[in-house]
Amino acid sequence: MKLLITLAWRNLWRNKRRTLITASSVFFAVILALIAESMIKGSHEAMINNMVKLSTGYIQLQDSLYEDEPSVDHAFMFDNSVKQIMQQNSHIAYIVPRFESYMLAATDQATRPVMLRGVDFEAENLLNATSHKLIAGSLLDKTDQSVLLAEGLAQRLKMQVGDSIILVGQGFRGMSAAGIFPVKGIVKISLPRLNDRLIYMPLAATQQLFGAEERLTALLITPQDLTQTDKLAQELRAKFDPKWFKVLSWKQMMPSLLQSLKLDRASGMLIIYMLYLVVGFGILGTVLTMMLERQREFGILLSVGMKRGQLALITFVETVFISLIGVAAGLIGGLPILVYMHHHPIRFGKEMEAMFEAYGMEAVMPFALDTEVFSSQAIVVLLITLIIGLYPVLKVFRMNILKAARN
Amino acid sequence: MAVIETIGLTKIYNETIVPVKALHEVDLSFDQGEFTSIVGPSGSGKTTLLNMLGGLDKPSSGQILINRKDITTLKERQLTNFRLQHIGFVFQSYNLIPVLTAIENVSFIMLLQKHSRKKIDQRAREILEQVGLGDRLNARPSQLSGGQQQRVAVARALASRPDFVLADEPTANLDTQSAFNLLDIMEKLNREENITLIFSTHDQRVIERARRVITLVDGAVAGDEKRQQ
Ligand SMILES: Nc1ncnc2c1ncn2[C@@H]1O[C@H](COP(=O)(O)OP(=O)(O)OP(=O)(O)O)[C@@H](O)[C@H]1O
Ligand SMILES: [Mg+2]
Repeated sequence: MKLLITLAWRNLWRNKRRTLITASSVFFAVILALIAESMIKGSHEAMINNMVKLSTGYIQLQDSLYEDEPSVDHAFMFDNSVKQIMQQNSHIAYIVPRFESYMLAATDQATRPVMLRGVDFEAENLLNATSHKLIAGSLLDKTDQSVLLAEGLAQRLKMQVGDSIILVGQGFRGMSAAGIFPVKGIVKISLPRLNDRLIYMPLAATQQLFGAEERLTALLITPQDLTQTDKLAQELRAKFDPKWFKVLSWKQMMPSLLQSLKLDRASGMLIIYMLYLVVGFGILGTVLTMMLERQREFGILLSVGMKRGQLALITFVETVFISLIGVAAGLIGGLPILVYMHHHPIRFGKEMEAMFEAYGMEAVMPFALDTEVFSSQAIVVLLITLIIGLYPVLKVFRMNILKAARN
Repeated sequence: MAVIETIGLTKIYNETIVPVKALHEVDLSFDQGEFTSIVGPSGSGKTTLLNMLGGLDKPSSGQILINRKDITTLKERQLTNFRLQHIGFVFQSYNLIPVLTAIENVSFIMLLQKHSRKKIDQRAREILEQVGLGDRLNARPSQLSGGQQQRVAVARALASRPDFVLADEPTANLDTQSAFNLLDIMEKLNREENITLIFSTHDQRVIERARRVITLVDGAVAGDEKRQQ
């Protein structure tokens, strides 16, 4: 065995230049793929974070009926038993209570459907402080009986700070919910869909308006470790009686986002795989020439009594060695690049900035830095190598000893 | 006692348009310790005969008995192992594995035979000493002359003390001096280690040195002459 490995290793360095060229093609492919993968992952994470923060949160606790019929009638009691479960779980970073409902907003001139979101601003700011920017007036206090309008909505209703808005809707269990509230401020929401319809109100005032004191339509839960979201959701699910409660992760609440991310990722991966295809053919070319050059040597080895399996192993190990060198160098070389890019992401120009900001995102190309990026590349390249490595193995098993030795 | 015996050995190559009868009803027998040269014009079947004896190719008909065992019935795996355990090979040129040193090339077959490291090393040194390369143990083939490379090849073939050694034109690529030198070594090893040695050649000067000369013409034995020296 040691003999076979020695042979394989020395054979590699027989033509140093060729081996180095092949290994460096793997090296560059791995680095490029790492960067591409890190960019895809990084931008997806940024998109997810942005979407999730403004709309659903990472995990939600809801009344068991709320998902199918999102009505305030299906708001649940946010009592001590729920609070206790939250406090006892060390994987939770923080919770954000919300009471949300569609209502009709009326002014002197117009009426529009709006989304009223009763929030605890302290908690809400933990989740998405950067996503709503005050552009006029001031923020709400806990005890205020007033509202903040999203910028787009304010424009449509032609309202300004100091105006009053009438809100009409269905209250908890048949009660009516209606009131007139002063507009205390206007905020720019970085999700266009929400910017056109959102109204913030302090949680207490909202619960009071709907006659649903102590109740929430949703409790948003942010995990300590965002990559463990699904696991935490699973954990919490076990703690609540499914008859009364539902625990949903953002993937369940926004399947279309997940779908479009998957699609985007697939197209990104296609490019990466094409890159690997090219590299694969590069390795194959090297392996082929190595095989051709050594026909005679192989013939002699088989003549003097080396088993085909042993010779096949040598050629296989050679292929694997070449790509291992490339992969190892690529991973080692890619690490500092990704670490740097992760901390100094690419900034986009002025024109792009506006577009990004419309979605509440920083105008940067974020780079993800996690072990999965590295391991997935390593695994893919090794798989390709193993497949290519089968070629010389097949060749060796089919080789005609005499013809080979005569070469 | 005969180490090798062929009975009605015939080889017809069918791959060509016109089938070529390369060996025709060859009956030969080689005794332990013989030093035999196979001669004959080009195309007379020397290489074909050696390939058959070495189990590298299958005859069309006839038997090859090695120590009374018919190797023509062996499966490929068994044949490979048979070659490894019982036969030494020396080829015309480029015999050696370029990435291994002289001593590693010589040790190679014994390693495949799974002898102990210590024994292998001792034997490899001893035999390289005998072929006059005791001072070039760690040279790569590319650092050796053609004659030296062939000496390493002979050392490799004999190191594991096979039942017999087959050498197809081992001196063809060597100058006269190196050719004689190699012959001397082969002869000496044949005598000292009592290993049966069969080699083919065109070279009249080389033929002189053999103790038995078998002449092939058109795939048949045309002469078999034993000489006392
Ligand atoms: N693989 C093959 N296919 C077809 N014919 C072959 C093959 N190998 C050898 N022959 C033919 O068989 C005959 C004997 O060839 P062989 O190589 O044994 O001769 P040789 O005595 O070794 O010749 P040389 O002195 O030139 O090496 C020749 O006519 C040759 O053309
Ligand atoms: Mg020949």
